[in-house]
Amino acid sequence: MTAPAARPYRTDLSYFNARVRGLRGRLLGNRDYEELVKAESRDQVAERLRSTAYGHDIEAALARFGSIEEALPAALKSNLSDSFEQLWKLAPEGARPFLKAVFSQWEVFDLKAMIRGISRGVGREDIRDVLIPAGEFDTAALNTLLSSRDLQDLARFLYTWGSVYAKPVSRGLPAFLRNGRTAEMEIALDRHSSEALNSALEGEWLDARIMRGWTGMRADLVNIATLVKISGEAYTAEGAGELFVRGGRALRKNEFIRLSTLSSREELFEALRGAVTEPGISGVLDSADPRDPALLEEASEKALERRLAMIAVSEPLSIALGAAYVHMKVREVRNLRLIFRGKLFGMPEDEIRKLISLPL
Amino acid sequence: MAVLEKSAPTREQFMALRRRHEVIGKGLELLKSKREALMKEFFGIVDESIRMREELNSLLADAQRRIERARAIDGASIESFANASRRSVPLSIKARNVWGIFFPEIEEVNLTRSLEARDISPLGERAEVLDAARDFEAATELIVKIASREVRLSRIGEVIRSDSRKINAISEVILPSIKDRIKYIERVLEEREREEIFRLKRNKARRQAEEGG
Repeated sequence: MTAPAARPYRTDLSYFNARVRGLRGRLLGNRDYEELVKAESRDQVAERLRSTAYGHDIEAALARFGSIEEALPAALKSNLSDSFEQLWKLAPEGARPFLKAVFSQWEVFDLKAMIRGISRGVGREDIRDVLIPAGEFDTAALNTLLSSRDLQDLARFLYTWGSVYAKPVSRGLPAFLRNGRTAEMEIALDRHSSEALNSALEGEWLDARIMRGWTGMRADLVNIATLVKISGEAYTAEGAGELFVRGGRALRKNEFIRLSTLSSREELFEALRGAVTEPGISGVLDSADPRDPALLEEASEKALERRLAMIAVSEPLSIALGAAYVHMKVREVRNLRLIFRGKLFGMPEDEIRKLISLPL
Repeated sequence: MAVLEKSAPTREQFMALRRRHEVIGKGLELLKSKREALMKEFFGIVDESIRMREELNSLLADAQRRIERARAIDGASIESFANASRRSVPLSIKARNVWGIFFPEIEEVNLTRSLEARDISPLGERAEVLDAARDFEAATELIVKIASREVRLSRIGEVIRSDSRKINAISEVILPSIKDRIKYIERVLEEREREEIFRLKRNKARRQAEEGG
């Protein structure tokens, strides 16, 4: 039988936080970004990155791939998953459920990538290239899951491990066996795993409260992003309701269903601005543009990071420091990828500056 | 033309050549009408094709910009989405006949899928990736439409070119040469007629001289 999500318990985070501060110290600063943006070519960007914490990953990737175009994105990905792995190993057992709430985004992403690949007959090597080891799925675990013959086999592995993801995968299996559809499995993974992890964050001590508040905000932002994606798609009330993630405070399910019937993004944003009053979330809506949904997603990610970063300043010994580091690292890797690809396609410096998000 | 040149300058040939000239002339008019009709069809499709090409370019530019931005932000999610989007697209091709020209016509298909039909969870996907996928599907749909029209355009173009060559050959070479030959035979026949009249007159004069002498 599948085990419920592990519950956190009070634990001393002094050593963990000290190590996280060390990791944060290795992150690139505004001056580094300025130099990278001013670099004249992608080779110069790669050269500058070689003298940073990414140097080792770049060398390793260059040995595998011939060109820097392929090597640098692979190096950035490998550095990101190493950082995740390091953070997971450093975290005391009692604090891991908190970090799992953050890492679940990549765990679910990995599982969905495997489900898509296995069900559509994609080669295992091609699937492996997409995966990002994080949280409970380290490289060894992902390799074991990848050895599954089919989706039933994958579900069996998850059951055997007592993974929180076993239930949602099994829930979608009948639909897959009936008509080959994997959407039910994916929705169950996205929705129920998030709800299961949120409900596991019990307790009244500071870290539990911080992470509950944060996961609640994330649920609200996911619901808002979902509404933007499904607007004009003529979902039925039942179909839209299936996409609602519980745990947020800004949007109730009936409100979500009502808003899902709006046919245009302009109408939706107008209605959302009237319906959502939570300060952090209404700020996200104010900076969003109905014609460019990517802005909403970027603003959401920034808001989630800002919330943790602010708590990490006022509560420096809390879990917020480690959780905020995950966001910072992800943003750094994203910025570097943007700068590199920008140089690759000859994007002007101003354009690159607009797209990257500097450290808070 | 060699046949025409070798034809004997007889009345029978003269009549035959005049009939041939008339038939070829009618054929020429028919060819010209056909070319005109094809030209109308050609220019009708050309305008449509140019408009569709422009639409395709702008769609692809938007889709490419979106996908590059999404790839820069989160490359792995694009690859995972691409794996989920794999599918085969069957196309039905029929042969169509316009003015005796056969060309393949690809049946237009609706390739742009709704979010539900994509068989993915929209929760974890970036809106930009979904928009890019929609744009690329719309572009593929347009490519199928353009392909059908461009095949037709190129076949009609070939036929117009070949008909123009035929029209030129008929009106510049064949008809003038038949006309020349008709004139030549006409001249020869008139010459013969004049000779005959002259001979008859001379015989008559000789006979009258003999009878008088």
